[in-house]
Amino acid sequence: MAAVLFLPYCQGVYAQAEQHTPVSLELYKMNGLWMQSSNAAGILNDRPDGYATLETGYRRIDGDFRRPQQGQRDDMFHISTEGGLMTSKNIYAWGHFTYERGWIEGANYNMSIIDPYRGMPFYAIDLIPSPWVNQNYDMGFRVATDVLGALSLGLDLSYTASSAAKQYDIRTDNSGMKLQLRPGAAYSFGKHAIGANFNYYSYKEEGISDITSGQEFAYYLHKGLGVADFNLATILSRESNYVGNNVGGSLQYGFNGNGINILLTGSYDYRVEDVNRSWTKPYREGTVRDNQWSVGLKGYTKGKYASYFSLDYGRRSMDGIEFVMVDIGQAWGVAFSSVRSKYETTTASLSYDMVAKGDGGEYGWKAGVAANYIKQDDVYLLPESVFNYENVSMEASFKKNFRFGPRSNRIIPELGVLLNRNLSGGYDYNGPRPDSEPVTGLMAGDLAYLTSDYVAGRASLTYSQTIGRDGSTVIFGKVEGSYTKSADNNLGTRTFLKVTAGCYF
Amino acid sequence: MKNKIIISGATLLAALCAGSCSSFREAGSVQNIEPISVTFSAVSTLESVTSLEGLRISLYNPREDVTIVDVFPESAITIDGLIPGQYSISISGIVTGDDGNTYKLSVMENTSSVSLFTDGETLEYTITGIMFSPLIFKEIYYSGSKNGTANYFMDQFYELYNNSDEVLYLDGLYIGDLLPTTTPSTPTVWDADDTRNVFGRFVFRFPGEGTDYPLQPGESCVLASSAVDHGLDLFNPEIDLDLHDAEFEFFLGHANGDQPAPDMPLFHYGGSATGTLPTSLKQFLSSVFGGAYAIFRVPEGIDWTPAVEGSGWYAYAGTSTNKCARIPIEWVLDAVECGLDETKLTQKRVPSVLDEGMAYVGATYANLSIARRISEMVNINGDPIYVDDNNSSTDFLVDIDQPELGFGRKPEARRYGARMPAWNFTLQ
Repeated sequence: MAAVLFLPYCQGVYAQAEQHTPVSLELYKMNGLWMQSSNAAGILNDRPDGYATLETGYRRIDGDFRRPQQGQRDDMFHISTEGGLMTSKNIYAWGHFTYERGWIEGANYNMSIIDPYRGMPFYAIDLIPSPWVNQNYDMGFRVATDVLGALSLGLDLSYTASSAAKQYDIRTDNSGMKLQLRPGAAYSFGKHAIGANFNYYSYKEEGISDITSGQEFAYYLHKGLGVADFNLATILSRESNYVGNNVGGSLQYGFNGNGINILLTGSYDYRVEDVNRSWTKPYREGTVRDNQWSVGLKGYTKGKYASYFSLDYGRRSMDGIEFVMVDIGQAWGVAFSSVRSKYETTTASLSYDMVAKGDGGEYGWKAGVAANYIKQDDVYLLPESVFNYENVSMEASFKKNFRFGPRSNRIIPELGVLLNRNLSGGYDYNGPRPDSEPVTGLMAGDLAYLTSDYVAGRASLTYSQTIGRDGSTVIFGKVEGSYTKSADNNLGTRTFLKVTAGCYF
Repeated sequence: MKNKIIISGATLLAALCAGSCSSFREAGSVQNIEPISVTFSAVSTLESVTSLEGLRISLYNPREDVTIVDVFPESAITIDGLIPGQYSISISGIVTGDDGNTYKLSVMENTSSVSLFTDGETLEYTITGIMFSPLIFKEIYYSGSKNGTANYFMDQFYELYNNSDEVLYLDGLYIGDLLPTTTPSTPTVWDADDTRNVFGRFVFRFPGEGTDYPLQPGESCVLASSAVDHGLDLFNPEIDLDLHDAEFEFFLGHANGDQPAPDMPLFHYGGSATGTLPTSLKQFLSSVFGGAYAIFRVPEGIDWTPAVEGSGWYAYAGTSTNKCARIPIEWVLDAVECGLDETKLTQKRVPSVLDEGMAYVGATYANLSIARRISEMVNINGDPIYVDDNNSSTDFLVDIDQPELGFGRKPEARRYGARMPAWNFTLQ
């Protein structure tokens, strides 16, 4: 992957467009419909250019308007790079690398999993808000080449390594990794192109939870919708092991005509992830069975005033499987298994941007609107408990590209406003221990946030210019922020601030 | 070059996918949970008890924290809406037999963890029991105490109580401890008839001709290993336990000497090949780790001679010649099983029909006893009626502030003001 990133500096093996500015790179990516899909083989249909970026940044999220397992404050430093190039042998390669290090303050109800929102209801929770120190490495590449003229093959490979360390008892030290492969093929005929790709990823996460202070702590083993087993401990060494696999695929149809370029995609993924306690004598705590479908249509019109649109619809059906385990001496055996919880998610979104194109692959301004819909229906079986919410949000934004100065100077301000409206929601718990914290704290807090109306305003300001005698390098700096306020004054506000600096080669 | 990359990538992908096939297959076959119905059928082993109407069944699923309680309408009951899982099942109750006597019934089989996963399943259980008796163990002190660094175990005592409104007679009553003396790490292997009997080690028999030793409602009979004031400097000044006025003393020649309290006659010693006490054994010492104790009455007309082969003894496992006293369960009026701590509950040696649970004080030589809980009822004299659910796990006191002590209490004879019977030697 390093070779991919540094190949732009090798003479005679690449082709590169004019030097990018923040706006031109944004427009370049908006035009790359196949690059936005999961099929690397279709990238050649985008007629890609070479580029390379390097940036570093720091962001802070702060405020009370959050889900209970999110931190009161969430700081993150990142450094990332990405780049692509087209070789003389008509091979396009693209790669990326991102390193993030974060500090979270005041996160609650989690002592055994790095990301409690990734679609895994089985984890251990404790009751004392704690700081976390997190770290992520995310790297990958995409390669596409034509093999028989109109037929192209591609491969998308990515690897993510994460670690998270909870700083207060009951403290935990987790590490996870995800390896994803998406081989694909695409066939072009005239203005049309079809493609198909396979999707596989493997996910593994391990953690050890322990108590160092010698004090007694209560903790729960959460199984879904607040149903959780209660435990007390003064001494603890709890090992958790998550192992998951996902298989799926996607189909694409593209049409690139004189006036319009569209890409229609349909995808399906099936994931199974097991959770075991203890590595030496594994005890099955649960299994997740996850089906995801989605269809999407993206495209844009050509011309000075171009329209960019995107429509997406997705369905997710996830089942939580629980086990009755029996001790058979040297191991735990499964006496019975059944689906005890079901999670249904429906999402739909549409967006429209109008862009006034200018010289150099940039635009003078961009105005956009977007709408998002989400409906969540969760149920725990026997005794039945339900948790659901339904929200719709609408957003409007405007961005202006000011060009001035001898060094291709740019100042790019952007403003946006979002309004979220809750349509329905509720939580009816009928399981054991209805007064326990997983019910009254975690789930009730989640419901309050997820069913809240809120308004958010965001703004950003970007500056860029060329440097060097030949002006081949562009440097940029960006400041962006947002302010979110819940309609419920008890839930408070949330602010976001990010500062980024980088360069394009 | 391109072909090599393609082949390598395909091979890697195939290998990764193959590893996930088994988990996909297993997860794909799991169905949504559905409630099930299970029929519980009960069969009585007692000839005098043919109707099981009124017997209580309790199902507890610790994983779901669900308890279901119902009553048998006859000999079978179907319970609907059960969450599939493992249940602790208790079937017990007090019924009136065909002979007019009251019987305390319980299930014979081990029902501490029963798998209920199949809809429409029928489970059959054998119900046995003992004649209901208001004569109960009120307090048992077995742990012994410390005298400095030395162990002091002469202070054990057993207190019987009349828990009814009618006079009871102790004449000819038997009392003793059961084998094995402590909770076994592996179950003791008896013969095929072990579910119908318990086996006595020390067996004492109350004297009297029938009405010499009445116990009125609210009266206690204290039986001491040594009937002295154990708090005296001569014995153990570190404790406060005065047993000098105990109704009977288990004197077998121990160093404390024969006290004024009447001696309880030893009837049989099941720890020897002859059924008699070895000369080296001078004390009735039950296990300081917690023994099992029983009071029983031999039915009239039965000549019970445990020392005679074939009559009433059985060779205790590991000591093939010992004449352990075979005691039919139907003779037992009350039994209490004790262990060291809560971890020993899985090593019960007394049939559940006699005691469904186990009491403990959590330590040896701890100067702690087990004392039965007072119920909300009183007898005709206003004296306490004690809880007797045939389950030592719930019948005896628990110190909420010190749960690690289990049921431990500072020993006290005649706790809660139990009265002395009129025939006590100190009242003559």
